[in-house]
Formats: sequence, structure tokens, C-alpha cells
Amino acid sequence: MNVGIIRFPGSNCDFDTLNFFTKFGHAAEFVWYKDARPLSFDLLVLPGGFAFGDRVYSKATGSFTCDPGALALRSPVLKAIKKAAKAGVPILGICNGFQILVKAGLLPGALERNESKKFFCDYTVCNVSGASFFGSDVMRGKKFTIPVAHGYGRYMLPAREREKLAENGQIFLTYAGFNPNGSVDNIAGVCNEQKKIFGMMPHPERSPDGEYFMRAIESYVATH
Amino acid sequence: MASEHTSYKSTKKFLSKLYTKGSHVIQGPGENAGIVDVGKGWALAMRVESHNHPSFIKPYHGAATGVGGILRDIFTMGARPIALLDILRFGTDDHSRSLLNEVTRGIADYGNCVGVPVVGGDLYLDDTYKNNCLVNVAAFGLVKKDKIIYGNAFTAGNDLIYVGARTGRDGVGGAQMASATMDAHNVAAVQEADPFLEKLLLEACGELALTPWIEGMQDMGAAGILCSTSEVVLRGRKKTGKNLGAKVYLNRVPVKAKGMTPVEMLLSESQERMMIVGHKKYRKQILDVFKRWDLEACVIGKVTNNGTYTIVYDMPGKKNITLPMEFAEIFPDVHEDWDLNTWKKQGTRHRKAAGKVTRDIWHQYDWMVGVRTIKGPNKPGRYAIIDVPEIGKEIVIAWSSDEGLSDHNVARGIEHAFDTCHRRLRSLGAKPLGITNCLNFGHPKDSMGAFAQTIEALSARCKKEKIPVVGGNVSLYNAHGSHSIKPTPVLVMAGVR
Repeated sequence: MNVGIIRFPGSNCDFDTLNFFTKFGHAAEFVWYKDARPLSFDLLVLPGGFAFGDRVYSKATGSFTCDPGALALRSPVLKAIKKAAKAGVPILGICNGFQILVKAGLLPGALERNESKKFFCDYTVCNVSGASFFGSDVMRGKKFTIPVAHGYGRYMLPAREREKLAENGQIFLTYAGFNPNGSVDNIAGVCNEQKKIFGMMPHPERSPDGEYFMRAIESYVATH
Repeated sequence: MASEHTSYKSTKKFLSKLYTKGSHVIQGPGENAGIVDVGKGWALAMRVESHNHPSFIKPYHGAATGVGGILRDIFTMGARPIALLDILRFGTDDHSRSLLNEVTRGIADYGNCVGVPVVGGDLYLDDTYKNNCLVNVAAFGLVKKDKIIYGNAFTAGNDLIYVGARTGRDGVGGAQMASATMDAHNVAAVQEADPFLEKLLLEACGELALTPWIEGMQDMGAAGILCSTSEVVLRGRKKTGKNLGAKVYLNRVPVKAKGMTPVEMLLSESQERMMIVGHKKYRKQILDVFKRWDLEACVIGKVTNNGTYTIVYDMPGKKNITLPMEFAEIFPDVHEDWDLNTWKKQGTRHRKAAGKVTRDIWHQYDWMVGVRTIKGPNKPGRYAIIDVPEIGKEIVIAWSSDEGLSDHNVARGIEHAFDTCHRRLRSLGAKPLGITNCLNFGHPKDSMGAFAQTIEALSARCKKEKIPVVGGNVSLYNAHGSHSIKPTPVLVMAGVR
């Protein structure tokens, strides 16, 4: 499998994500945010971190305003990502990557500040539901331990749209028991209608159950 | 430049007694961080620093810049930071509680954004810290042995390159403040923190450290441009015996405030700035790396061979200032004997914070980023285990303090800290490699005796067990009026298994 990992300035789970794929024997490389070339990969990953420090600025050393994900939307690589999405390339957004995919309109909903107004990091237990992670039958209906680390992870969506998502199986991950951010219906991850773009707040690359996530991606890529 | 914080003038003679040698010590005290050999071509950089005064005055930024400074100490040496510790001491009143919340937020926002996990720490409460909270932060980094960068300049003609944040008035006089008691608060003397710029600097400097383009790197922390440019040259003079000097063009320094005086520019403590000693022929390549990372960089001076420090400031009517290169040495060593110990009569209770309080703190830190944390703050015990697949081993870090024992018996305090860490490493099957310590004391007039006893007891333990001190920090003047804090030595020991 050939994996492209989108790297923004401030993406701090970039190496963790790269190592996750190479550990399982896959070819993975960084794609710099200024890169607008067509992305010919089997999978694109938007890793966790703080792309552009959650800021909007014209010069990194100059003045700025805060708006997580906003500057990422203006980067050249985003055009390439949207093209790849249209062409049906599977995409995974983790944490900040999920935030960017939502902001870009590639995934439904919004990610707001944690209910506690504080950053939170610890292990959580999540249910795999709906269409499952990349359609994996092995994972569907099971619980997995996956760490979270975020300040803006509270997933929000109006009730009517939520029902539609649930009906369509797009809510593939929910917090079981403890909800670390106050997200509605305990939602931890959603995918798009075509079930090709997946976004989740928890970090599979840090998970002791990481192998399940990797196998799911591998079998999806092998059969699509 | 000659304040206690930057030159250790009154503690130097004691610190020279420390046991700092060992077969695996690559760099002892005197550089930005200490470095020990962990095998298979890799080394561990480690350092602990205090940011006590700034954290009391401006808790959020004071604590955050503390994290920023210690991280720069690590990546300045070419090492990639892999772990942080926060060791906190606060009073029990409402003000202390609100300070603690802000300090925690400052550490969290900084470490989380840069992407370095806080893998452990501790919090003790004692009213002795009511007007002098202690915020000690330790950092660790990994570096290939043949890629270590030192803060030195060897070759005349090479560039002094300024990179990072623009220079402002923030922090002018900060290093002096850290060496004054807490009676005179100066909010303007505490710098503002910018973790995103730090992250960009970390990545850019990390890339440069792997190239043959640079000769040295130095953090522009306390005391700023003056200190960093002169330090790299002074170290180069010592190492090469050459009559090196420096010429700095102040007009070229990127500034964010208007009308700054030369002295303000030289002493500014604006954070997130680095000084690179670059080989002249690779100037373009170096500047290109910074450009790629959206960082402002420019050549502000050069290494010379005339043995003088020249500051050029082109303005009508302003003369260039030229100083002899060894000017840092013209400040005399202060020698006074003090034997007061007024802190002894305080009798305040020293206790560990409740589990609920510490849990709320470490939950705000990303303690897993990097995916190396095998034992983090989520499990009890003042130690952390860090995975190092690069060498197929684990690094074990243990930390402790005197836990209030210094009150009655100063030597016993540091011995307890040493023994606790040493026992922990042994019980986990780790070979101790080095120590970094932070010595937090009150006003020298009543704490210097305790300081000397602490050093002596620590030195004896280190010698006996053959574990060297490879770096650390001294924080004096943790005092308010006639009240000095109780001696609070903090010790961090790292080992490998």
C-alpha cells in the first residue's frame, strides 16, 4: 500500500502516523502542504496536531487570529485532496485531520471546543458501529481502546441530519461509556455518504488495538 | 548578563564541586543541555529549568515560556525533544490555586502544540510557596552521537544568523528579575509565549542539524542577542585557542517594536529566537530551509578573528561599541558567608496534592504524542518509561525532591531525592546514566549555607554511586520580604534498560 501523509506546519502526529504505516510494511511519505501536484496514492491521511498552530496569518512571525483549520483550507494541497476525493481515493483524517476534513466540507458536522473548555488526553473505549471502519466486518460491533488528545473534539450536528447519518451507517465510531468532550450522541468518528472518507478524533496510531485499524484499511484498499 | 540567572556568580564555586564525569557522559554542565550515551550510536540530551518568578507574575506565559526555553535547550543541540516533566510547588491559598490553573494551562498549550508529551511530574502544596511558586520543567531529547551540535563558533568569516520571532521589548530585564526577590513585580519583564513558532523552529533547526552547513546553534533565551552571540564565540575561543571575536549589525535585527534602543535590542528576551553559526558558503541553503518553514531569518553578524566584540549600529551620531571578548569575565565572583536560616522556623505542612487535582492536570497534557510513552502519568509512581525503538531499549526517568526533609536536615533532603530516584531505576532494571537537577532556594542571605550543604551531599552520593550530574539549574531569590522558601532541591535521574 502506498500512503500519502499530508504535512502542514504544526502537524505534530506526522511522524507517528508515518511510523504506524511503515511498521506494518507499507510505503508512506509526506506530502507538503504547498504541494499541488495530483496525489496518486492508495490512501491519503491527514494526521493530528495543530496545522498552522490553529491560526490564520500571512507571515508566521507576524500577527494572527485564531481559527483552527481555516488556513489549511487555503493551502495548495487542499485542491489536490478534493480532486483525489472526487476520484474516489480513500481518505482518513485523525484528530486535527478530522477537523480539517469537516471544515473543508468533505465530512458532515462541526467540531467544537470540548465541553470542559480544557484539552483532554487519555485512553477511551470506542464502539465500532454503522458502516464500520473502512467497512471492516471484523471490527463492526466490537469495542476498542483508542487514546484521545484534543481541545476541540465535540462533534455537533442537528438532530435531523444525525438521523440521516445514522440511517446511512455513517456514524462508524462512538465513545462507549466515558465521553471525553461532550459530543452529541457520543460521536467519535463519521464517514461520508460514499464511505470513502473517514474522520475520527481518537488516534488509531497510538492505540494498543492499532492492528485492527491497519488490517481494515489494508483489506479496503485491496478490494477497491 | 551578569545576573544570577545567567552567570551563576555566587554559586559557581559550589557547583564546581559537583561530580560530572563518567564514561558515557558526552556533554556535562556548561552547554545548553547535558548529553549521555545510550548506545547504538544514539545519545540522550537532558536538562531541567525553573521558571519560578515569571510564573508567579504572569502564570500562563511564564510557565509556557519555561517550556519553550527548555525545549530550545534540547533542540539547540541537534536533539529531537521526546519528553517533558512538570514539577510544581504551590501554596494552599486561593491565589495559589488560580496561579496553578494558569500555569497548567500554559504548560499544556505549549507542550501540546509543539507536540512533546509531558510524561510525568508532581505537585506538592506548602504555604512556604505562597508568594513564590516553583515551576520546574525538565526536557529530554534524542540525538545521533555524530550529529550533536554545540553552541560554538570556530571559524572567522562565518555567519551569525538570526532566526525566529522578531525582537521586541518583552522581557527586557527578565534575567535580572529572576535574580531579584518577588517584592518588585514587573509584568513587562515576562515574555509572551508562541508555541507555533517554536514548532517551526524545532523542525527547521532539526533539518539543519543533519546537514554539514552549520557550525553551531545557540538559544537566544535569557539575555538575548548579546548573550547568544558572545557565548558561541567564547566557547569557540576556549575550544580552539583562536583569538575569535564577533561583529553584530544591530540594524539588521528584525524588530517588532518601533524605536528600540541598542541596549533594548541586545537584552530583549523575546522568545522563540535562535542563533545559528552558519558556514558562509552554505548561507543560501540555510536561509532556504527557514524560508520553507515560513520563518524570518537573516545574517546579523559574523565571526571575526580580532578578539573583540563589536556592535555596529548605523545611525547618525551613534558610535560603534567595541568590547574586549572576555568581557563576561570582568564581573567578579561574589564571595560572602551567610549563615542565617530563617526558613527553618516556618513549620508549614508539606504535602502531596490529592490524586484528583493531579489527574485534572495531566489530563490537559498530551502525554502520548510521539507514541513512546510506555509508563506515563496515568499510572502511579514518580517515574516514566519511554520507548526508544531506535536502540531497541527503553529510557527510564525517575524524579524526586526533598519532600520537605530539607527543613530539618538539609543534606538528608537531597539524599532522599537521590536515593528515591536511584532505587526506582535499580528496581526497574535500568542502568543510571545521568542526573539533572534544579536547586530552588530562597534569598542567598539565609539560604546559601543550605545550598552549599545540598551540593556537598549530592556530590558525595554521585561519587559513591558513580552517577554524574550532566546539567541543571540554580534558582535563588525565591523570597518575598524577609520570607525565603524552604530549600527545595529537585532531582531527575535518567537510565536505560
